[in-house]
Amino acid sequence: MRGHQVSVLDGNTFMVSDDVGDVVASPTLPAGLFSFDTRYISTWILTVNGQRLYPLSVDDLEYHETRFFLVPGEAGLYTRAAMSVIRHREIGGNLRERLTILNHGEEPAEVCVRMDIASDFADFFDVKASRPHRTGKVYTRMEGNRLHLGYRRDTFWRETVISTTVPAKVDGHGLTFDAIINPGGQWSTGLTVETLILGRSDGEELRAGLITYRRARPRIKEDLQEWLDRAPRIACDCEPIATAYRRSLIDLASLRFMPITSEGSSLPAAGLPWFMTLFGRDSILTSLQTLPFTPELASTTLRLMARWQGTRFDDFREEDPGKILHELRYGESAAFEEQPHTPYYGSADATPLFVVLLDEYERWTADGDLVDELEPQARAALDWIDNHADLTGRGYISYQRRNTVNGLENQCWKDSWDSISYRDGRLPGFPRTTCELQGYAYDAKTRAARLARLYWHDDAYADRLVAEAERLRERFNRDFWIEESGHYAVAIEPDGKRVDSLTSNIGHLLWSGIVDPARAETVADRLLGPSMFSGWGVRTLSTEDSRFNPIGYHTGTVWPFDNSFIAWGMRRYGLKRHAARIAKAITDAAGYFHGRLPEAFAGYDRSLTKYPVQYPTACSPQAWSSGATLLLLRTMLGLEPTHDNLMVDPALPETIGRLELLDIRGRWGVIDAFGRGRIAVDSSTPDMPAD
Amino acid sequence: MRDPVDAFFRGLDGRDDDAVLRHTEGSVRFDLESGDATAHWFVSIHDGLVTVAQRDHQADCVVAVDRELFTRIVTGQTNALAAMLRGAIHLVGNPRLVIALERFMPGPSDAQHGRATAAPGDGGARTSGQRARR
Repeated sequence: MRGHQVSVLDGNTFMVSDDVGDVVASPTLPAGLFSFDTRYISTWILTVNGQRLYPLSVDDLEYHETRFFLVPGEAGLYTRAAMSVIRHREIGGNLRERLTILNHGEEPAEVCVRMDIASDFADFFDVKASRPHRTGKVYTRMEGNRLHLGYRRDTFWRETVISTTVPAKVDGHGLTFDAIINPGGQWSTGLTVETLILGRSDGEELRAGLITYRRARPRIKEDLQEWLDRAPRIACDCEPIATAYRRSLIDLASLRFMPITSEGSSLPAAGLPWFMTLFGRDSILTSLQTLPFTPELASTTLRLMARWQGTRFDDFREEDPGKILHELRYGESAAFEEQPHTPYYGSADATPLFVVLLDEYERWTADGDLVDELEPQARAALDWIDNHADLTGRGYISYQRRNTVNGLENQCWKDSWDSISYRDGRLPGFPRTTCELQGYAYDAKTRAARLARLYWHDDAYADRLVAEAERLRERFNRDFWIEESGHYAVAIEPDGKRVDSLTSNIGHLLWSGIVDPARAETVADRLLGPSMFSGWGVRTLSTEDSRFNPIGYHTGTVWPFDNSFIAWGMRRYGLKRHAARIAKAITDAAGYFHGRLPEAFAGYDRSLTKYPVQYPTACSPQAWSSGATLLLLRTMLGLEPTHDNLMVDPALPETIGRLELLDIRGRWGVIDAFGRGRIAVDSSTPDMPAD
Repeated sequence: MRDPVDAFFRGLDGRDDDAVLRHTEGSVRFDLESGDATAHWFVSIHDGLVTVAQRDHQADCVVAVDRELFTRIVTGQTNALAAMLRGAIHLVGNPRLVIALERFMPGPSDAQHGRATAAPGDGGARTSGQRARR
């Protein structure tokens, strides 16, 4: 595909095209119109008098709407072009595209407008894996001004319907329009593409009968404005931070996903455009990051995760009773149970994090009704930790995949195959017991004890949870601590052997509170030491480890989301200067991306690259990267709900100057927070003496 | 041998699982089709309790499905959500109630508790260089 990619989307319906609006997809090229994890359009090519178009500019400021300004022909000639073309594309349920051709000449223009259209109905997983594989039959049907492209395999039936407002010659490969445009005049047509999910033999739209399914959402624009109006306002001397805040809020709006069963409320999906679906870990962590700003995301996330909580054992889907889901998908391979995503539960952290979110949500909102409503699910999640997650009998959460065909090997956030290793590069065996999971379990039990006392009227349960958490904390600090290195092991083997690499996972331990207070500063120093801190943030793996690679997905890159939780953890232990250093590094980096933090940067030293090198990724924006900006604002201002008040304890890098966050909603009503940069942060080179 | 569909509905009658049923109210009718005959099962969720009756009654959600497929679902041989995505189940009304009842379907009969399968090892085949998610 030429040029950069342009996406428009509404929930999990999105179109990825090139910079003239065309789609020239192959079975393996990730472009086209997708909905519910199926590609409905794989060819969408506009020609005028047989010529492809050339881009003048693209206006894609809105996520659901794009305008392409084009001229027929090749580069260099356009200044004298007698015609120009505007494609105005919008998604709100259906895809709508208005084609307008303007004649700038002094003579009437005879034009032949052609749209080539095809669909391969590829499944999301096949596009992602570059693996063409469809066993059903594709069909084509013409009907008046409508072209139907369909795909059937057994009862699985998807159909694309393309219609036009101006009569067209319709053939099996597209639409043709012939027109004469007067001098100074214009010609225009509207195209609509419907993406249907049909059922059984009668070809009925499966979603038509569902009361929760609303196909058209014409109010996207108003809705975005309301979303921005509800969030706290920022006033800041440091313009890049204000820009990053506003960018993140808009991106989080576009990342909202409204599943059919959610009854009209939305939760954060993981990333645009490929990860617009229910994700346990991503939705929960993003909800945690955004609580001070957009608490409604957390309530939907909690409800939806509760609704899909595991109730049985299923090895293919890695489901257990009480477990929170990892990922839900709607495409052909999920429908035929070739992929386990209906839903897939291969995540060892989502379950304790669900409980953590419930408590943090209550601390901000005082929404006791939801805490009551989700009591049984919270208890089931805690039971999962004790009954089904302890695979080694050592009293820890471990994971080992039961789906050995297409289950995930690493079921923690670092889910690539080589993410957990020894310092010398060896990979540990299974079950794997990574450190941050134990922190989450500790935090979940501690927080649930608070909820049990306040809401569930069960002091005995609270006492039990506190005692269990305390024993876990002691055990953990004994079993994971590597005295000679001054940090926690990233994992332990089933026999208790410590996996000794230095990783960012230990930062999550600070966040969870499981770290022995006497060790907190040592751990924080290690994270900011030269082998871990690049100047743009904390690396996933230290440069001293043999698998370190500055562009290794989880083996050396810097993840903004990871850093935001580490900074939160440092604040938890009162390490303000450490937290400010991370906040400065990541917000500096955001300035290089117009405020949109990418999923990850390369782990090169800042002194080497001068700017943060983006890790190549198909998904942008990413929910937890957008959330990172928000969580860092929280950590810089030191926002902490205490009883019915919001504590503000700023610790800002001095380069930021004045920072104000106005109208922070919560159980206290509305509060403004102010801070002034007073902490000197040297961002040029790592200067912590720990390593 | 007991009919698995009968057994499923008999087992469903009287369920009071808090985690699934709290704050869920309504009714679902299952229309099980085999040949020209349709059997109706009316399932009501009220006050945290499931009651089942074999009758054709107006419900908040109606699920029309082939009896043979439904038999495979209630015996853990196929997944209900996957069958919906295949278009093999027809749903009218509030899908949330069906998602709640789906949680009562059994898993595969050969499924193992995690600890039963967990043994020190290499975790199965690996594609070198495979990236998990993004």
